[in-house]
Formats: sequence, C-alpha cells, structure tokens
Amino acid sequence: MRAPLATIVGIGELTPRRSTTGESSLGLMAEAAALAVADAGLGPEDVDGLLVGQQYGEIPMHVPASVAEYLGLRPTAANVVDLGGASAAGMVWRAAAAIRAGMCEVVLCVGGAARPATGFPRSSYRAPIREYDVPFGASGANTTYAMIAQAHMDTYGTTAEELAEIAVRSRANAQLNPAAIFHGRPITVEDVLASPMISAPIHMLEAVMEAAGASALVVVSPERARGLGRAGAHLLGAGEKVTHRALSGAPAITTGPLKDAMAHAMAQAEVGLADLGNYQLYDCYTIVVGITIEDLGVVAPGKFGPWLADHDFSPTGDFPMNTHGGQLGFSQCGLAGPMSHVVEAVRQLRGEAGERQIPDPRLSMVTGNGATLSEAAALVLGGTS
Amino acid sequence: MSLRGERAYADLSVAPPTPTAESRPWWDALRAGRLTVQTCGACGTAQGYPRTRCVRCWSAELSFVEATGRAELVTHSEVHRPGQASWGAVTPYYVGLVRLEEGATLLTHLLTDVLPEGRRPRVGDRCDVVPVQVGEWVLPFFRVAGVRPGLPVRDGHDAVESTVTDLVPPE
Repeated sequence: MRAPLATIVGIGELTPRRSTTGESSLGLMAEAAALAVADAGLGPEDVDGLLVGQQYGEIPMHVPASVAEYLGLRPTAANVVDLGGASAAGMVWRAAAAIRAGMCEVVLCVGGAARPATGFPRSSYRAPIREYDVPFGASGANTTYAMIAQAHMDTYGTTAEELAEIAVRSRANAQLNPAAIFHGRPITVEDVLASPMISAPIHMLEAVMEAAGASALVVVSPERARGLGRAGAHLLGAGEKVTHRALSGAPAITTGPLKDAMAHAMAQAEVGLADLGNYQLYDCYTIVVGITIEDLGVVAPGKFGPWLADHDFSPTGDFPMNTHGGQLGFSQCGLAGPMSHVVEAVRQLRGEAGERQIPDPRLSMVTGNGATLSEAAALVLGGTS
Repeated sequence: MSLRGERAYADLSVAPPTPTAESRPWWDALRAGRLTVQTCGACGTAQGYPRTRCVRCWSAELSFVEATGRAELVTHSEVHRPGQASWGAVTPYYVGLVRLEEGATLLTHLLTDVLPEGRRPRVGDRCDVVPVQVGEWVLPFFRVAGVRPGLPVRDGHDAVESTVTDLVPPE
C-alpha cells in the first residue's frame, strides 16, 4: 500500500427530505459545509480551496464564485466538477491534486440540491442527446438504464428477481440508518416486482428517489491531517474515465468506464481485491450495482445475478456494500447522493457508523457514476489510525 | 405489446429535433425518405450523428452516404412512463439502440407491429429503417423484424453469441 495522497478530515451531511419549501441549494450547502468544517476541527478562515457541483435549475454558471460569496470564502483554487454522479468522487482526487500542486491547503467539497415540490423549470438546450434521443421518445435516465439492464438480461439471462434483490438489500441496510429516507420501510422482492413498471425492465423501486439535501467533505494533506488530531480517511488511490454522453455513443453496454477507473484506483493505491473490506458503490439503479461488481472483477461478466445468493451485503456480511442504504435506500439529493457513498466510507473507516459499523472495514472502494454509465470515478480510501 | 404501425405518430406533439448546420443535410434526406450516414473519406468510419470531424481520425473529409437501412438491435426498453409527458399519448412503446450495417449506432423508436403476438424484441434482432412522420418532422424509426442476422433463431437468453454489446466498430 502506498503513502496517502490526501486525507478527508471532515464530513457533513443533512438528513434528506422529500421536498423543500423555498430554501435555496446554496443555503443547504452552507449547512453541510459548516458541519464538515466543524467536524474537521477547522474554521471557515482555514478553507482556501473550493470544489462544487453543477447547480441545476438555480445557478447556470459561475457556481464556485456564487458558493464562495455565499459562504464568505476567498479560495485560491475553485472549480465546478460536472461529472454527474461521479462528481463527488471526482472532487476528492481533484482536491488532493490541487493541494499537491501547492494551490491550496484546505479544500471544501460540497454538493446538494433543494427540491421545490413544483420542480425547477426545464431550460432549453442544444446538444446531440437533445437532437438524437429526445425526439424519439427516449429522454431521461430511466429509459437509458432500462436499456442497459435489458441488454444484461438478454445477453446473460439476468433475471428481474436478481435485480430486485439489490433494491431489497439496499433497503435492508437503510433500516440501520435513521437518516435514510426509507428508514422504517423495508421491502421484499415481491414489493419491487409489484411496483409500477417505469421503463422495462426497471420498476419504480429499482430507481433512486430524488430528495433535497446537501453533503460536504474537507480534504487536507496527510501532514496537515496529523496536526488536527482527528481520525479521518486517507485517499490511497483514484481513477477516472469519461467515455460518452448518450448511450448510443457507449463503447459497450453491459460494462462501463468504472472498470478502468477502479483498476486505476487500486493500482495507484498498490492494493488488490483482497485488501478491500467495504464497498460503497454508486447505485442510481439496481443494474449499476451488478455491473460495478462485475467490473470490479469480483465475479465474471454477466454472473452477478447467481453470485448474489452466496454473498451478504449487510455490515456483518462477507461483502458489506452501501451500508448506509445506498442511494436506493438513502435517496438522491442532487450531488449529495453520490457524496453519501464517500461520507459512509469515512464513517466506517473512522469506526463511527454506530449500529451499522463493519467490524473490520479494512479499505473502502467508493465509486461514482454519471450520465449513462459514461462518467466514472473511483476511490480507494483507508483509515488514518 | 404495442401493435402500433407508423401511422400512429403523425399527430403526436412532442419535442422536435434541434438541427444544426452540421446535421441539416441528414434531416433533409430523411424528409425525402432516405437514411444517410456520415462517412469519413480518410478512414471509412460511419458515424452515428453528423459532426464537423470524423469521430475516429478527426479528418474533415466527410460525406453523407445512403445507408442500407438494415440494422441489428443492440438493446431496447419498453417505456411506460416517458421522461417527457407528451409521449404519454402512445405508451407503452419501445425505444432501442440499433447498429446499422455500416457500423454506426443510433438511438431510435422501435415499431413492433410485425412481431408475433407475445414476442418481445430481443438483443440481436434484425431491424429495418422506416421513415416516420412525427409532427412536422420525419424521423428514422426501425421496425423489428424478429430475425437475427447470421444467427440461428432460438428461444431463451443463450441464443446471443455475437458480441452485440461491443459497439466499437471493427478496426
């Protein structure tokens, strides 16, 4: 295992809620940022780096400047990271790179979204996916991930029950997380298969539910982290890959760029599969979890379905996966959804996961996935003690 | 299963294409009933949608070549709750990816009206282009013929032996 590249020393996460009544995303992000900076034992005056997500419906451009102004920050390095569900993991290595380049010392990574009950108005845009997908009746993530799942079923014989099982296990883990939006509401395979068909083969309970919330991380150098005297999580390796936007441009359908991103993260960390002890895998839809497990090399391509029966995703299982409930159980609050996987890894590595603590979390594999299995980022994280 | 033919779409009021200077000839050809595919004069790559440069070698030597209109189904989904509410008028319907004989892959709307009752589209199925009037535009829909090119027709999942999920055109 290599020396750490950077250290996550603070986490902040708001409890998701189904909708907001007038609050701004900036306001929610400020709350998460305050939690994370306090958790790190730092103050606002220490923050000199800022990474933020795209702000759909509210701030079309100048997002870092808008967030900095709202929080009274004067960062010496600032960026928006626009990689969809890969943005949070993508922020962590960018924070490390900015620190190692001497541009800043304490980086705040923050994402979140308000969710008015009426939604945000759709803005017009001009892009190939708008020109060549939308006019055919194929708009939105549901249809795209349905086509990915259907290809896996037609090609490998994956069953609806196997896909549903992943949603059931995410909900089961969410029962150990009081902050999860589906805490207190476990489901069965029968429930999933009886839920409305959205875009075949995806049922409603196999898709993330949107919510409002925000999350933040504080990243510093390993040297700075030592001086803070607070447990954290070391970044040991990262990987990223972007391959296309619309599914018609994908190099493959039943495998994605996370395969290379995860391999890069493990090679950079100088670790192997046997070193991993928890898996916080991006899960906008059940099929993404299955493909990610295959792309990680845990099981051969096409075989995740039969593999499920012999493996256990619970905190005390042999393959602790999305122990916070995943986004399927926790909800997706804009970019705070993808960040929830990073936050959970830090909690587990610190030993602060409460009743869902993994006895020996070893190293975490954290993934992010954006657009149509197109934007991938992976992190290998380890404890600091 | 939808038994809808191409005549069901003319009165649909849905988001139209948003052509650019690069794509206008492609849409104009469709209006005349012809599916073209932009092809690179330098490396021969046929690309899915028109660009100013070849997606593979970045040559600007591009021309529109008439496609055979024959394709293979790469994947598909039966849409019950469309992302755009205006498509609700024709639900459920199928969309999918098709790989043209020329090698380019397109997202399209699938016509399933000639499939036998109870037979759903499958990866590997043969498809044929059908220019369809949707509102003011002509779009290249594809009709699923239900025959897999070059493969024995069998039931069940194991019938797909080709690397249909590998969309990289052969070198």
